[in-house]
Amino acid sequence: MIRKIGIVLVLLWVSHVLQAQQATVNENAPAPPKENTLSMFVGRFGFFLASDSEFKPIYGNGVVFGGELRLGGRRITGWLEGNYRARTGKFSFTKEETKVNVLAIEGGALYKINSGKIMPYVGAGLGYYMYKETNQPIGEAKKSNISFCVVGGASMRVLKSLALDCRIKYSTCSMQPADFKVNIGGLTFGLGLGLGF
Amino acid sequence: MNRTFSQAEYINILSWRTDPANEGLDITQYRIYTMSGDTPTLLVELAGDQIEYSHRKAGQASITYALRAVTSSGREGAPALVTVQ
Repeated sequence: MIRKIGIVLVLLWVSHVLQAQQATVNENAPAPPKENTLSMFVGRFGFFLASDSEFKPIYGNGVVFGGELRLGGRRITGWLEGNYRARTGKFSFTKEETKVNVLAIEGGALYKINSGKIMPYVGAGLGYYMYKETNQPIGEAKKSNISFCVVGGASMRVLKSLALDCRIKYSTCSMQPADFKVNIGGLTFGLGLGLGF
Repeated sequence: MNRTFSQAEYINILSWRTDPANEGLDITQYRIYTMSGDTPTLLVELAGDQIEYSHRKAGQASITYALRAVTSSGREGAPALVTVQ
């Protein structure tokens, strides 16, 4: 786990250094017009569609909340985010209440495709996913695992330091917290509000 | 099987009818035993008006149950045996 977080932090650092070097090289040249970057804090919410066909009958689909930090250069931007989703569902037979929550820490690199007012991007990274399911009849099942995610989306600067961001993310993470092997990943359609810097 | 996303339990549901031969007797309880060979282990005591019981977390293994009616004087009747595969 620590190694994976280290990789993400190194990616963030490298992208930041590359940006700094570009600034140094161009020190004596006339200053070009400032280019929009993806560097920003993003608060976001989204709608999650589970990959595992057994998830929906028990819990349905639902919302995800999270926050994200992007830091980087003209093209490559490091990204680190945390997000959380919780659902209340019913047992398949007795219809008693059961709860699930998933906390994810994800990070990686984004590649900015275009630098206009609208900045589409794609990216990939690693995630650390913490799963917990609790209910009265059986008890608690929890597990965590590291896996992959890919993202694609677009940011649009609406003011000098304010951006709207829409994004699709796909994550996959298999684990066996109790009786069944499950995949807690899926598709997330997200909207975010970014504060650029 | 009763499942959530990652967890599951097996429930054996036992139901019965009152024995016409018990007519006139004051049946105040039913006792359900699980049988291991010929050895019974008391699983639960139920009121005399109950005619169904759900054995939660029963597992996947085959279980033989013995159901006995109990009179107000504490006398147990002959067992009704059933095996759930």
